[in-house]
Amino acid sequence: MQNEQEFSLSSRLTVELMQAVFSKGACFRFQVKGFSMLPFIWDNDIVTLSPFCFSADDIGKSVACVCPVGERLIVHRIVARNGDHYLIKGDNCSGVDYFIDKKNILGYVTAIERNHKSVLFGLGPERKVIAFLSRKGMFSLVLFIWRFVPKFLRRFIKCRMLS
Amino acid sequence: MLMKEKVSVNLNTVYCLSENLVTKEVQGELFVIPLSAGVADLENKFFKINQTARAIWDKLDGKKTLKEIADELSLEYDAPLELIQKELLEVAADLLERGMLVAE
Repeated sequence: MQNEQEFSLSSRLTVELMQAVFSKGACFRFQVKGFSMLPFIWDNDIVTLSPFCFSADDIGKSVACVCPVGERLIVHRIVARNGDHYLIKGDNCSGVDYFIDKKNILGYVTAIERNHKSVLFGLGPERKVIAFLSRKGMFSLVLFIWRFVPKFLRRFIKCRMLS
Repeated sequence: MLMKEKVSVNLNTVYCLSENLVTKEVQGELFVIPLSAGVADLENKFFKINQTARAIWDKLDGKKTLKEIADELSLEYDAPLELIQKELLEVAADLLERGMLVAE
């Protein structure tokens, strides 16, 4: 039996394993790579995904899906919906991704861990505001202004949005 | 210092694969992810089953004893029964230790 450290998983294989896990109704925990979801999901964060249940409340959820171009596994945010198609976008990406068919959405992020600590911001009700700003192309501006907001005020806003 | 207890495996016992496993065959290779509290943790543990373990894995159906499995394998493979039994006990102990196998 070979342990996971001895080989690396391709994106395709990760998708296949994820689908097998979701078909059992279980959650899937793995490490993400990349910066497209900054500042909410960082490079090397560990995310837990749950099987995706389609509902009217999907906007703003961060989802794992197979990108139609290159068949890569990506974790981006749903910013709009049109019937069975979802428009997804990375929080740190200037342009939108594609309309993804719902069958290509595998699961949604229910937990983020960074340096062994749980990160909640971006997963609660505030996700709808983020999705709205992202869709309107104003998220980068808000992030820029956010840098100048005093730390205590940032903490207060985060607490209010999470409660 | 805590000593790890050695898992005892019996040739006359029936073993079956744990229900808390997700298996997926990809391009002829079998991948196994144990579920812990309903979560498949790709960061901590998942396994690729090698050829020897796979031959045994496919026969662990919860009906046959290890001895019966060894007999079957000795008919399928050109190897002495003692060697097959030894290999079988090693693989079964490894799987038991990892919680992937349970005694019936």
